[in-house]
Amino acid sequence: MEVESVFPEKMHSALNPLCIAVSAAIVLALNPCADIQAQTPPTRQKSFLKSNQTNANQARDSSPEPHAEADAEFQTGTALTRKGSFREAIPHLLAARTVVTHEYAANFDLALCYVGTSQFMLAIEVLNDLRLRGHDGVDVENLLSQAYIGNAQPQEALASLEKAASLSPQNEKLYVFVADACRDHRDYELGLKVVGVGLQNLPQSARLHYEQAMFLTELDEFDQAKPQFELAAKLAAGGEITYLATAQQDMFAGKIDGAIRSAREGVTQGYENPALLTILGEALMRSGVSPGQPEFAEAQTALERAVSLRLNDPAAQIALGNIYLAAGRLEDAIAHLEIARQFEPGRPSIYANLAKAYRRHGDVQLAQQALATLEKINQQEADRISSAPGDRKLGYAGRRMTQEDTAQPHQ
Amino acid sequence: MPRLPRDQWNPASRRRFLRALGCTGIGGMLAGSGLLRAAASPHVEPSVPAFEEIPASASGISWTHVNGRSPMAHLPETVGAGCAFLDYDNDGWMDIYLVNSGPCDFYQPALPLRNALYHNNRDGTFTDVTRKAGVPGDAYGMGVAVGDYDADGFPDLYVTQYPHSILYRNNGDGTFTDATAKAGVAAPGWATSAVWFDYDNDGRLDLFVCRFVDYSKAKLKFCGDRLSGERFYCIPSIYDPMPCWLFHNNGDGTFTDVSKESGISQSLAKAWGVVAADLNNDGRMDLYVTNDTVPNFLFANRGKGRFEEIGLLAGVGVNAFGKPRSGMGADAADYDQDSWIDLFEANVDHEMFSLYHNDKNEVFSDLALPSGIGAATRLLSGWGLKFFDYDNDGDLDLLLCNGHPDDSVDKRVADVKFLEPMLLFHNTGKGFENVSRLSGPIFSKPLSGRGLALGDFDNDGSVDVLITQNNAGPVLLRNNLGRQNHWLGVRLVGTKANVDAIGAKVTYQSGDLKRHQFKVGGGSYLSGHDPRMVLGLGKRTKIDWLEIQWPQPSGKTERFTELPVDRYITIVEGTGKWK
Repeated sequence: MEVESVFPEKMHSALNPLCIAVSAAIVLALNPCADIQAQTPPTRQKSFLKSNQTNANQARDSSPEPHAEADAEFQTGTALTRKGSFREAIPHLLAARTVVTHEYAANFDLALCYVGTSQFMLAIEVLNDLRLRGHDGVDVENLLSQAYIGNAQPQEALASLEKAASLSPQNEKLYVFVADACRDHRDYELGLKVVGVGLQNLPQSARLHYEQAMFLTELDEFDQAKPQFELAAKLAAGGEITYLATAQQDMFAGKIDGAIRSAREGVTQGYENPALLTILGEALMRSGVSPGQPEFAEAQTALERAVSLRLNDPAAQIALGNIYLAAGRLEDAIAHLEIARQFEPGRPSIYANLAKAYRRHGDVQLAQQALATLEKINQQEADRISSAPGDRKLGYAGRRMTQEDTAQPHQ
Repeated sequence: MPRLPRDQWNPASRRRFLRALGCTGIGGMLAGSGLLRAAASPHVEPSVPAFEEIPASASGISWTHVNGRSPMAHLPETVGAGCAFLDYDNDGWMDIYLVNSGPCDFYQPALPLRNALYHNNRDGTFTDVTRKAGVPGDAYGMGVAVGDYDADGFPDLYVTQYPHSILYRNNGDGTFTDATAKAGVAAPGWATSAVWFDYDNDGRLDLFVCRFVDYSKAKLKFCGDRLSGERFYCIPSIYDPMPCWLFHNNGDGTFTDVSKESGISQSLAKAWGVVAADLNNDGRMDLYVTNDTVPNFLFANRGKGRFEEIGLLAGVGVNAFGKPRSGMGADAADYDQDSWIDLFEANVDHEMFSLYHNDKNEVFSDLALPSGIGAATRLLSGWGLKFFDYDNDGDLDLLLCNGHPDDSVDKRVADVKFLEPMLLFHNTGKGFENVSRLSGPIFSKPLSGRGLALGDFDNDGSVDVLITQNNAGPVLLRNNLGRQNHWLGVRLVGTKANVDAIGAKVTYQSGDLKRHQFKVGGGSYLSGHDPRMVLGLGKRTKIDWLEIQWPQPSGKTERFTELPVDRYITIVEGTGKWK
């Protein structure tokens, strides 16, 4: 399933798109049930069917019409899930789960949809119920870990991850997906632990070392992150991560020229990674290029490509919106910034630039609405800093460390 | 940088390095007209340094700022203090005023501290006349604003302090009188920068006073290392913002606090810097106020005594990532000669400074990145700054002094120092070029720079500079470059317009060179400047004409020809002649 397929649907502002991305990826990588929809599940699903065979037969015998309806609901629900229309899928899956032949698949996809719509508590209930019924495989534990992260239960999240890791220790995506969830929920300390679990099993994983570097950077430990970036680049041996790690490290170090060089080289080598493209576009813009210059066009092309590859990355959307703003393409700028807003409504940069775009477009009222939201977000951030314990309050020397909206693209 | 145990990670300290990226902000990079692209033109190193430090032994300025650094790390300790060039005795030579710390609830100096007024001896030396003049200050001093509020021809001093400020009225005989109580401008609280300007176009200088946070010894908060007990200076986020003050000049030596009815007090500030200028060309003076950790203000003067705060909407409130920065120093000038006044804001390290180009109609674009200023200021923390034509080539350049507010930053943050060098950007007419390295040893000298005042203390047409340092002596810089070109110095005296002609526009033509300068109010940080305007001509030896557009309520335009060069003249509004 392609992540992009999620987004042609009408987005709902309450939807956490990052969860969607993660979940959609899970569907592809970890959940064979959702991936193949109602096809015969693999071994563990056979046991699931087996264990419920009697009930299923009873249901089929006593009321064949409701079963057919439920089957249709299941088909609809899974199709919607595949499309990423999680909110719309939920009622269908709720209806389908009553039929035992689809119980695991329907419940799993239902939990997936709950995570995708930030209804983490409901997801946890469904997944724990599956666990109690013996469905405690890697998929369930993985998704449960993400649901716990969403529900701010880091200990439980880690426990689920560790259980999943014990079942499939060499599955790199397992750690990456949970780490992504940590990033989405800004729990960088947990993300570091998640990556740590992964590195115990996959010590030579360039990707996990890269993730570790990213979390360390988020935690204001760039000095420790540097060797991790370098190790990731080395382990990747000229692969995609090599360029990504090097470019990212240079960006964080303020070495814009180096970031451009690495990202450009990576893209030239054929690694059309959206994150790499976003870094290239961002770095070029930060080098001070202006409309009319070849580098400006290069940045615009890179960002347009990044967005086409990953529609759900707010950083790429913002960057593209901003470059259109710089180019005076106000309507395009507004369109992309509005998409970014749907994906990550708490990001201040969206509103600052949206206000500029609306203002220049003559929509002063919309500009003021964007600014009102911006003020609210910034006030929340100020309150958070202000209410920190005394020994954690920020000093002048660390003032730039306040949480900053960044252009960090999603890997 | 020491590593904290995981459970001690500062929740507010995440993403430091990300912020370093975020602050660059491509969103502000609009293709505004008048974009000055970083210039690639070669700048020839002059045979003598552009700016030369005059040691205290030569100038006689032995006064030193004392910040009273305490283990408690009270915030005011690290942010002062300011300075000013003024001709207090009207002898035609710029004197110097310096602000010091003083007694308050959190500080009792072991030895008495005082501000200093230095009289210009006209030979490059100065004499301390503070005692005679009676301007020592009486609390924890911050800055100074100079303006002839009673229009008697002698500049008065408004000294901002914590926890109250002072108005020193110039008696015209070398002495001053504390007129604070009579005037009603004590401004109880923590005042920082201030500016004299005529907001209601009644021809009298009103007073705007920046206010920082709600602060007192009792309200000190702990920021530091719990284990060692070591404190460091808190980020202002954790203190409550407070409204600034606007005082209306009643014309009888008294002022009325109009902060509320003007709309100024509706916006809660953490203000360090202010500059007054007509930013939307509507004939009324607006205010640009730089705030620390809350959005900057652009108070658009809507007339009838009302201001509308439009900083966010105008694009000068926050960075391109929607975050308030640590606005400190501020200035305003039309650096690209498009007749719309642009803005500059200095910030703290990793935020980069902002060059806000005026795109007209109350919209600004931050051009720090394409101008090259962003990259040059990424690791610096800026305070005093000013646009001025240091080489008299007709284009407005930019000088900045820097210094980190936290004296422990060297051991806590890589690549950032407490003492930082100054920066000089030369306006080539096509862009700004960082010429710091070529402009004298002073630009390699680490300073705890704070205030920055401009003034031609030797009357040679080269505008000199005074820098104040936190807890150190001031730095007096002689400009050696300006006199290598031709110039005309103009002192404007308003009669119907305000006496200091704040808000005037001076346009001049010299051969192929046509330029204009706006006379803005204030600018820099905690500091006041030589009121005379120096008009650079380059190698041209003649001024064809000079036009003055006096501010309201005059609004009159006067044109002059047959003007001299390489000297100062005075033009009194309405007389039609210069002298």
